[in-house]
Amino acid sequence: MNEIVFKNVCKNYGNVEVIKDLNLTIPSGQRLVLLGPSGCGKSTTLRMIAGLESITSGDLFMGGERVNDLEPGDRNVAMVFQNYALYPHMTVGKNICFGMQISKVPKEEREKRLKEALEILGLEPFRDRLPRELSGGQRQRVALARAIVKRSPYFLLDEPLSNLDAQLRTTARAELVKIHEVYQPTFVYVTHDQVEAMTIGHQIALMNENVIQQMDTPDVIYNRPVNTFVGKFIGSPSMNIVTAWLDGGRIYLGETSAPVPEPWLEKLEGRTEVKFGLRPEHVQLSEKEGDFPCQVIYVENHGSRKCISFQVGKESYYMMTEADFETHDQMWLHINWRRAHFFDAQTQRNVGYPQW
Amino acid sequence: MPKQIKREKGRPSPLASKVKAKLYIAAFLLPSLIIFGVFMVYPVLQNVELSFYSWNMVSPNKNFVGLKNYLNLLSDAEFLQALGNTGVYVLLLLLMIFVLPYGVAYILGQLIKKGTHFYRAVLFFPSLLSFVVAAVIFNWILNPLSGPLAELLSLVGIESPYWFRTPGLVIFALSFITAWRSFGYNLIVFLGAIVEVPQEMIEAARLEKASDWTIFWQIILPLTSPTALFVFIMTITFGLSYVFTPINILTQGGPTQASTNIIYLIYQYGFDYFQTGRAAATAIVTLVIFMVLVVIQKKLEKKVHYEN
Amino acid sequence: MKTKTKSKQWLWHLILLILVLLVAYPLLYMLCSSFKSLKEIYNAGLSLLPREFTTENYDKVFSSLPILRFLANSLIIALIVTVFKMATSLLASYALVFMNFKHRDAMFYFFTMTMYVPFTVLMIPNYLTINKLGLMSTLVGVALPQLADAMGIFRMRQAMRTIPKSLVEAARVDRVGHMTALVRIVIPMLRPAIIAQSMIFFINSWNEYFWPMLILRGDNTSYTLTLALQTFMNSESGSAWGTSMALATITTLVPLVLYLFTQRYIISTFMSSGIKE
Repeated sequence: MNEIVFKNVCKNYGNVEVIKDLNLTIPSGQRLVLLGPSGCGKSTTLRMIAGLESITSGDLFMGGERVNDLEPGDRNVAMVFQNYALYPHMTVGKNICFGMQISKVPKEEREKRLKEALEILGLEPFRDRLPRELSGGQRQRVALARAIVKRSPYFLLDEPLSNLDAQLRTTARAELVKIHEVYQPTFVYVTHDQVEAMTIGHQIALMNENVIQQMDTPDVIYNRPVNTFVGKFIGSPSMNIVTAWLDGGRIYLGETSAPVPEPWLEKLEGRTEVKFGLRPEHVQLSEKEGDFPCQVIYVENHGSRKCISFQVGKESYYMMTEADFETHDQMWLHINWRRAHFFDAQTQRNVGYPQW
Repeated sequence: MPKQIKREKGRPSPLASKVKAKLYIAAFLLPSLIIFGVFMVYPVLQNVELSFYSWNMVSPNKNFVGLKNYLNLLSDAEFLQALGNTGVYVLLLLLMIFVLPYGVAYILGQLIKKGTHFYRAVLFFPSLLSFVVAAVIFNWILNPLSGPLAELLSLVGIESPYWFRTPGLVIFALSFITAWRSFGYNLIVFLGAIVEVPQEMIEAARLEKASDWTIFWQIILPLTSPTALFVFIMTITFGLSYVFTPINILTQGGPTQASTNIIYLIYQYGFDYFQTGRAAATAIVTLVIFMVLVVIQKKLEKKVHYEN
Repeated sequence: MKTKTKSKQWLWHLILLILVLLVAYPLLYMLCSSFKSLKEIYNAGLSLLPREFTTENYDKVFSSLPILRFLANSLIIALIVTVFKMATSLLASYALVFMNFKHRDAMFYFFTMTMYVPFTVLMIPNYLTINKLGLMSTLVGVALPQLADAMGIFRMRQAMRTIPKSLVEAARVDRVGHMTALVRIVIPMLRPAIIAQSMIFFINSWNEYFWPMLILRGDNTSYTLTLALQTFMNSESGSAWGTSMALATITTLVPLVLYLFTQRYIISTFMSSGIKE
């Protein structure tokens, strides 16, 4: 009903390509997170939906209608900006009502929606304050309230939490999800923060270099990254990815080698050089003899867990663990093959996973 | 239960939306474009046209003379003198309203500890006066018979010269009047740039025992050079126009063209001698010189910018 | 080091005080002379204050010239110029900052370049245009050529660039039209800059000499104050000493009063008027 569809959309600034052949369907009422490093084109994608950026070629449909040439005001979208874009000379109440006033929403209705929004977001005491008299978190909620009262079927958020401190961000994330559940608009959320993406999105579209690398649920993105970029971008610290060689049913990391279990051997048939990936949280080290001998280089204390840096041959790896280690411990790396990832050495694409 | 969101009704068609957007851009720009078209672009173009004709502004006959107006300028004693005078004006104006306010702005912005607001308020004020007022005041102050300056000079036994009737002195007097009126404006623009220089840089230099002089040359000057460049060009282009009013009121270019400059000469050719073609040719030459200066400024500006 | 800079303070203040004297003396001279009799002016030497305070110069100015008429003319022209220049500058700079269109930067470049075109270059064609429009010797005829001044576009654009673009974008997404965004969001946010710039437009037009001289010289009832001042001084030569000082004082009154009220605004506007792109 209110789905958003990109068909072969390109966007250029002069000779610079910002979006390359984008095909993307955002189902009605879903939460989609556009995730990626800065400059990947995620904000541009959002702004094209809002009508704030023109589309160079291709088609954009909203609710089944082609909207390429529709002015922002005619698209009926609600948008929350990174800097909140509150009007500094208007009180909280006026900020929230300004758009409704322009759209000629009747006064009683305006009042009703304002009250509801203030209540949901706990802003009642601040109705007559000016933005400069509010804290960062309060401003962010005013921006959200301003979007809510539109009752728009499309909700666009451009890094709305990036100016908040870490604690506020956690509560604000939950609040955003709650608000979406109440009104269920089609929800497009831009961020560079993978935690926000994982916690908020029904689906994540991970972008890099002007292209969507992978679009799927947070679970699939985490467990089945389509290429090394996705594998490294999701997860913290990021996935250990090293070059490995296969020979005679064994995998070589540098000088040393270990046997590869049968299901993987089938999957990796015919390959000699591969990229081998293992998430730090899935690494197992012990003193008991295992697959690869290794040496602990240093231990970083994160409080609840420790980040262990170790070497197999000359390559460095990370492990997250609750256990204690000491530097220079001679240890063995045990590979949990069900948590291992292999990527093509040239294309960097995931080679797939075996049936266990 | 999720609340129902109604689909917006009466959405305008994409075409209407697009056309509306373009119309808005046009509507916002047109008032300015019309005014600048009629009173800025068209006059410049008409000047180009007129510069190829011999005409007296009223006669119905215009004679096409090709480049003759331009070629005549090369051998025109008045034009050459005006060009020379212009050089003298530029030098004097640069000294009085470029170099001097630069230094004074440094004193005002970085060296003194008290009184900045008072000084800048007073020193700026003449910039809000009409050049006519400035010319009238100095007409009397510089009066050689009983003006205050003449009285002051007589105290030290010097007889006041006839400022406005002595070639050589007249340009100095007119430049001074113009500088008196415009000094404050340039001062404030310089001050704006100088107070923006990060204080830590100056403090770091002070710790190195750098003198005020060194700080000016090594820190202030490089960091304010874009503004300096802007004021430099402004002093030349605007300054020469500013002198127009004092010239016209006090000397009309005299004595014997000793105080005219290329801007004033255009007016003389046009409205004193009614040689429209020659005036137009002089105008185009002047315009070309100015535009070259401005383009050089824009090019240099990119080079002297240190900010990111 | 500290003591060395401190010891030089007196030198800096001395330099500045000399400049203050250079600025203030001519102004005080104008004011004081306007209250002196002609005879006293001739024999005053260097003394400033009038020995015999007299308003005869003002009486003479008011009786021999339709000063109120001239004042009204100056006022009307300055108001027309200020209102129209501010309106067109706001519209154009809004478009240059918040709208996207082809050749936007080139258009801005064009506007800035026009600031350096000297007025005598425009003189003959504009004279002919005003003549053709039948506006010779009219106040509108004086105002029109003054409107082609890109300073307002330059300054207002600079001011608007301090407003985050997302503010206008948020409004656009909420169906706010460009005109409403300009009037309800941009203008309220720029009120100090707009007031200061309007003052400057007003004062500049009030002080304008060239266009009134060119367009109004045929008809001395439509003179502005500055034009009257010039013709008065030139026609009465030596005997007009005191009276022209009185007229000059009257002409200066309006900028002075405006300056006293908006001094901070005006100075801070100029201080930021360098060349930040």
